[in-house]
Amino acid sequence: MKTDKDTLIPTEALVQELRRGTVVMAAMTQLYEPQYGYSLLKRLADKGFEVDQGTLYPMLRRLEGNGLLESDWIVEGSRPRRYYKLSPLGKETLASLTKEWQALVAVLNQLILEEEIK
Amino acid sequence: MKLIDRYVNEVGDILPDETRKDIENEIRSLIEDRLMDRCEEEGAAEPTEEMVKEILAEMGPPEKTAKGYLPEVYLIGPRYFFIFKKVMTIVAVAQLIAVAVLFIVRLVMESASTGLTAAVTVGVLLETLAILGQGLVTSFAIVVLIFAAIEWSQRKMDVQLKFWTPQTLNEPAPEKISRVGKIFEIIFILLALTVFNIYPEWVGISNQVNGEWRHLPVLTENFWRFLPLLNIAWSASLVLAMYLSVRGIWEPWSKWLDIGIKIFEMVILFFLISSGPLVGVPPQGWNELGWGQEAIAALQNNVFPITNISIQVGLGVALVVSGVEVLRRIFKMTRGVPIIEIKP
Repeated sequence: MKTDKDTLIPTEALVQELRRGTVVMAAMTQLYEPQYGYSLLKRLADKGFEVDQGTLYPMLRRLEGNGLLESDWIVEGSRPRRYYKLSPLGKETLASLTKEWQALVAVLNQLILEEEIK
Repeated sequence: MKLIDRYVNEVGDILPDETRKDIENEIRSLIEDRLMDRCEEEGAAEPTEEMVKEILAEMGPPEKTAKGYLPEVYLIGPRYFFIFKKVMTIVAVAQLIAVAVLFIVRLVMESASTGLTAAVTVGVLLETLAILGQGLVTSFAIVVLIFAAIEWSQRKMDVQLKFWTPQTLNEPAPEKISRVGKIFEIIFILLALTVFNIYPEWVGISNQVNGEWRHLPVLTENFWRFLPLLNIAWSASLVLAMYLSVRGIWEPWSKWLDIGIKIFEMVILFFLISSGPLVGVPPQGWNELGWGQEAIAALQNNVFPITNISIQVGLGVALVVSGVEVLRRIFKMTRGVPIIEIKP
């Protein structure tokens, strides 16, 4: 039989779930200029958005597979690096996502504010 | 830097061939970037073995790194898993019932011919259990195969869902039964019951000897021992077909009964396929026809083996087609969409 204890979700898991949906958008905002994986990881971390590399790298490949990113291997010195940047479709998609995000934030802020006033 | 090579190789071993090289290069590039960063942080000119170990430890086991790159592929995905479980349960129960009936029939036949002793009973029981075990394993494989095929084709169809519009919705079909189809079914069942039970010699080779017709049955014991089960399935189908042809519409119980009978027939089909040659004549049987040795040898060595393989392939195809049909019906019934019967 299911108990209340079984259905409890730790706060950490909820926070992770909340952040998971935003990683794609966060990464895309930084890819107007070409970035290789590690530079993107550091850039996001420097701006306060920590992403696990195990999440970021496969995600970049998936976004490329969906046509939202383009990539090129560039050899710098003796080391090849894969640089990712937004494709034209990626730029359009990011613009739509940004609008959606802003509307979502506005609604959520409103909802939270209403509850606080009560 | 051998550790890096080993790590990258272990990640690559888990990845699909088509993307392996590319991802390996990407992971190597990431490790090297992190090493350079670590060197800068610690003011070292060259990365050390310790730094490599630290970074690899931070990245975690190769399996974890590879996991993110692996596509989500299921043999049977969450969409069909519960239907699969339901079907597997029905198939297992049907097999259990069929084997129980077979066990009783065999006991009755043994007691009529040689008498029923403890040794004979145990022998029949062990043989029946072996059939059940083999049947369960094979039916599991067949059901998995059918569901895997459905899962695969559904993934292809999902692509088409992108172009879905409300206009593509089907108009619900009336759940009427084709009476003509049912009458044909009744005729075929009566024919099968008559031929196999009253005139078994008709299923064989016929020849005129001195103006007199001689019949040589060619179906083997492997077939005849399943006749009682076939009779049960055919009788059930006959009664249902007669009821449906009068009633004219499907009802939930008749649909489920129809599915049950079909599964029962599939179990018998499976037993027939796995029981060995279904066509053959014992050496002394040929005397009836008065044929020459060459003709008999040609039949025994060439025609019968090919016929047996063809029959088994045909029955196998029928089993798979029936399986798909049963699943389609169960799927539609559990989704509440009416079954559309194809009129002859």
